[in-house]
Amino acid sequence: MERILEVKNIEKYYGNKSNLTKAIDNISFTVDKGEFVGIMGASGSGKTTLLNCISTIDRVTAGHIIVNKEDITRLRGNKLNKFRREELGFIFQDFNLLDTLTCYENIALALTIQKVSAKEIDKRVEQIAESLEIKEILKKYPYQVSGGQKQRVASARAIITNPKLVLADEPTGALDSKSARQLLENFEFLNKKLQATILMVTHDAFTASYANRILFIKDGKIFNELIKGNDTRKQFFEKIIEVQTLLGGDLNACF
Amino acid sequence: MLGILGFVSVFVAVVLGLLIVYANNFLINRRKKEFGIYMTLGMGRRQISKIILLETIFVGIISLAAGLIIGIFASQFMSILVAKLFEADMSEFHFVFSKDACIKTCIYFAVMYLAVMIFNTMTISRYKLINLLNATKKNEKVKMKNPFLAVLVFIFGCSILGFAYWEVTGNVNSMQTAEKLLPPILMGIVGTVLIFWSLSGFIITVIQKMKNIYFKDTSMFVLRQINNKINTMVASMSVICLMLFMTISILSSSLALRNTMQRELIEMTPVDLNLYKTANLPESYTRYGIKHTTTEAQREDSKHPIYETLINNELDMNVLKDIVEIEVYATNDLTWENFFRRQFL
Ligand SMILES: Nc1ncnc2c1ncn2[C@@H]1O[C@H](COP(=O)(O)OP(=O)(O)OP(=O)(O)O)[C@@H](O)[C@H]1O
Ligand SMILES: [Mg+2]
Repeated sequence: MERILEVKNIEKYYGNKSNLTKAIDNISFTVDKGEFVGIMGASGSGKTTLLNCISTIDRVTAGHIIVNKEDITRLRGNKLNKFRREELGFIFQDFNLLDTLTCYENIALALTIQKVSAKEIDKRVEQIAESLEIKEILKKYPYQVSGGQKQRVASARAIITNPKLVLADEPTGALDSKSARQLLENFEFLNKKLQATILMVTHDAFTASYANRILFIKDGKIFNELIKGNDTRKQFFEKIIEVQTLLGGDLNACF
Repeated sequence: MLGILGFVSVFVAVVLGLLIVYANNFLINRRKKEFGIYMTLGMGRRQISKIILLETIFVGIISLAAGLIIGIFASQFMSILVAKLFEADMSEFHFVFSKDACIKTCIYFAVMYLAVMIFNTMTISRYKLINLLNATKKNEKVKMKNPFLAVLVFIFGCSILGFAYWEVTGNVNSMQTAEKLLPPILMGIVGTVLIFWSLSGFIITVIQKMKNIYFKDTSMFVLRQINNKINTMVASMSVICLMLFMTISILSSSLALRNTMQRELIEMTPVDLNLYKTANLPESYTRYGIKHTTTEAQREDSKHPIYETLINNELDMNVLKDIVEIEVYATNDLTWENFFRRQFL
């Protein structure tokens, strides 16, 4: 299998000497092309920080991140822009939609920056809006739609460019189980049919059960790893719950 | 007088320029997140700078055009107002377009917008992407100041500003000439800046000293809010106060100037008609460095008093009344030295 992402001994510190937070403390792992990886961990364990480093939004304090044989911690200027534009799709925990643009324009923005023709943009936005059931809200502004709808718009913006690597920070956090399932099916489609690699942070064991592999993070370190293998989704789900109990975090998930 | 007007116009341009740069900074801060989002979607810093540049130029040109048009008409209104104030003759009034003022406006404008552009490009290239995305969530940083120093500076600033305000309002009648306006204006600027500089440190110190009211009720949240935006507030309040001070001082002193001018007009011109002529003209003489030669008729005429000349020119002397004739004697040889001897030298 082709290796698409390799994270090598990365560390990320916040603050200064007197008040140091080790948000990531020596994490290493690799992801092959076409994998669907879930990242789980308690709140504040460093998941968002990890994704921010991989997506080149933030810089690591130490270590290397290699995407497609290229060390992205060294990437600068136009190469970096090209990487963000063509290889990466990012779904933020707090959506990061532009309030001054309609949902349609927000989704189209990703393609406009790639200089796709207007006709093509129209076709692709329609298509993705159909599959995420947000066609009715395309003309509305982000502040006029619900949290779950915003999340789907943000997801649509991230995956409309058919990126090779999708990084999603709690993409189902604000969704009910039906909308969550729709989004996850979209991810599956992207993953299976378009060979996109997906890295998804989540608290929710059900959402996580869609992944092939799950990394558990605790206090900035990798604590455990679960591989789906030949299990059914239900069996995998139960294993995830077990590890979560072990982690001591999400006890509520048992009841 | 023209010099001082030039100075004031440069000063107003500088203050307004700072205001524009500041307002722009505020807008860019609010848009940092937007630029961050563009960047995560793969737009380059250079392209973002280009977008901002185009926006700035577009807005700049529109506002320059609008400002010039409004300014041309408003200046007519202003000159009518000023003419009325100084009781000038209005029958000769016509529409004026000052090319100089127009060019000056354009230059000031260009300089301001250049500063804004440089500033914006710097903002975009300086910040890390993560900080752009999180910009709106962050509080403003406030530097703690030495409270003792802050109090001292505050008192000092208050007294300067108080004196400056008194100079331009209560004591305005001593403003005989425009040049006298300069010190109070400078004092006003310094005072305002000092007060606001010290006030920000002062308020924060006081807020932090008042920990007991801190947790009592909602005032804590209000204070926190103030604390967070203190820099923004200090800057905008300073500019507003400065403009206010300028307006008050210029308005009151121009009224005072007008009063002085009118009083001087009455004092210096006590009569309606003032005629003078030189008596006993020589064949040639030098005055103010210019050599004059005289004709026979001029020399003859200069031997008579003024009213004889007027009568000779067939003027009806009955239209004039209360005629006072004053003779002034002069000699080329009369110098300071031979008049006072050496005792005052
Ligand atoms: N800008 C920052 N400055 C200082 N500390 C930070 C900063 N951002 C995050 N941290 C700290 O780093 C740690 C990891 O934060 P992170 O946002 O990655 O958590 P997370 O796993 O995404 O949590 P959640 O599930 O709640 O989103 C936390 O302890 C947090 O307090
Ligand atoms: Mg997070």
